[in-house]
Amino acid sequence: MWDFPVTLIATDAKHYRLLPFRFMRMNTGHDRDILLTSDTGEYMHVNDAQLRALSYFDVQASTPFYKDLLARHFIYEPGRHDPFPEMAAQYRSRKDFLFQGPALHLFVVTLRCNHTCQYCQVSRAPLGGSGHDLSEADAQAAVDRLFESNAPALTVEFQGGEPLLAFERVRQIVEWVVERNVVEQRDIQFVITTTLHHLTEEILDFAELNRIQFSTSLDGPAPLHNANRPTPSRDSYERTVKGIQWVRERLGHDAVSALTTLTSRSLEQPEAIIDEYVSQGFSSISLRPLSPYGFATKSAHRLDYPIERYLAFYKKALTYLLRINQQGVYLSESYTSLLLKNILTPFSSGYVDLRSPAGAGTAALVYNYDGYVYPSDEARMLLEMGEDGLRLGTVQQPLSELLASPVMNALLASGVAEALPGCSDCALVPYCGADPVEHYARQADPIGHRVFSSFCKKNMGLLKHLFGLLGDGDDNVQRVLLSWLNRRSYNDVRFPGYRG
Amino acid sequence: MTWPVTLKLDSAAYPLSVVQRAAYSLADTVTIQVGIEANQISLTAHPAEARLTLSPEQAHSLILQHLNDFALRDHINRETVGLREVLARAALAGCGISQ
Repeated sequence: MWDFPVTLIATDAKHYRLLPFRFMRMNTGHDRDILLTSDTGEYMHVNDAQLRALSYFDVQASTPFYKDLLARHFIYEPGRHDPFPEMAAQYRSRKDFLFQGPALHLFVVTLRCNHTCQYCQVSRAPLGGSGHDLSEADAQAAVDRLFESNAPALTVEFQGGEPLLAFERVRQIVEWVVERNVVEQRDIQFVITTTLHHLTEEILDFAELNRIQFSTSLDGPAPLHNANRPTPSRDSYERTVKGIQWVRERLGHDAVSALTTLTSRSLEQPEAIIDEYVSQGFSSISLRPLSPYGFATKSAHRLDYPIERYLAFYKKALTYLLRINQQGVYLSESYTSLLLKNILTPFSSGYVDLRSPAGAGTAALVYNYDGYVYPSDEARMLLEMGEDGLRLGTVQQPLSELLASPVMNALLASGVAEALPGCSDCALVPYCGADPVEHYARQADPIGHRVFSSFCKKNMGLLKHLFGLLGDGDDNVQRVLLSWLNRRSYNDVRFPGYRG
Repeated sequence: MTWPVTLKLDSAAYPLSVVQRAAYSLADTVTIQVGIEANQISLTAHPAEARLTLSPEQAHSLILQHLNDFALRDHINRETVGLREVLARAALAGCGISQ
């Protein structure tokens, strides 16, 4: 495993040595309030006296605390125990996404849309607008870029605007990809992100043939959804729900998933939003805060909210979700599930926003309608705000050239969380990520100041809350969280811990 | 105790890098001016915003707690110097920006 010599020599009487770790006060009021984490994602809760004893080599070798520290790789015994091969394997598992190229390829086939959402995150053009569709030549080049990635599993996602308004281009791209894949033999998943308002039998036939998944937006009950997503006919909710039912009838219940966008008015009704997802039969809900992109920034004074308000909403929503899951409903919160995977398993969730080095460009590429390539959906949204500095190049350039672009170098230089000011001392960094695009959007600096970062406040707030729930000893809550992690029903999850 | 809160530190106990990290981490609560005189580092802390509810006494304790925590982190980093890099180099051998 080693391609260079590593010699660990004990030069004094210390019976153990420290391995790299970080600590954080969680301010829970509990005795063991300090969270210790290792670079490999192991964690322990300790008190002040234990932290000082550990740090100054005063932990007695016969104690359970000492054995815990050894087992979780916070300390090692030179000459008796070499933890590095195992730690390197764990570290490699957590960063395994670095060993493959971009797997998520987003095709923005049109910017046209029938909605006029004030908070629109991707920006849009009028229904009949011209010059806002991906050309055939650029679409073909994008398919070439897709297959230049060495990722064995590829997701091809169609975005807009409303991609079904450019369905002929979607059809063409899918057919090209399927044809190429006869030779390439990759595992390919197609997803169309759509309001479902423009579904037809023809589209569903094609989706069935190519096992295309649909991802839609459902913001909550009709009054909330229609207020968030205005259309001239004021029936956005009704048309989306009809579309959900139609997809399910034709392609099966799990062929459509939904995402929620939370505006300021959404934050007042967490239970109503969750009840809507239950009544529509979804098994997952994504409670994501508004992003500062696209048209959202222009309307920010009316629609945006401090991240503290979002965190209060999230905690209330999660409490409600935990309660109804214990009563037999299965509805997981998707971001919580990703964070739990980062905390409780040796693997990374792989989620683009929770990667370090940053996932922009390394995990995802966006082929915009105008033929330019962006490292993330958020980066192309900045374009509609008049900021084109984050483009990697054109879709006609080879992938190797796009990934070696100055923008990619800048993103990577500011995208390693473990090396960023603030993050480098944070005990939550093994479970978190770096998001230079968001910091560039919000603070005009891809590194940004973490104390003033909404990304940091959100992830710290959620991670601390989850550590609190995992540590408070409520078996029923932990069973729900484990059921989300394992995608199994509450009743199928045994009580956590040992039951003699 | 009144604003601004002042502290005088022995630079042997609290190296400048420790003081700077503590000041950085508290930037949303207190704005800290750092001065160096001989073997002493002086801190002058002002509320970061007018509506801060923290009393000067609480701010003093908070700054001290952060200084002590960052001094401990500095000690841990010195004890483990180089190991993080060895681990990352071994674990990530063979990866770059992959296509």
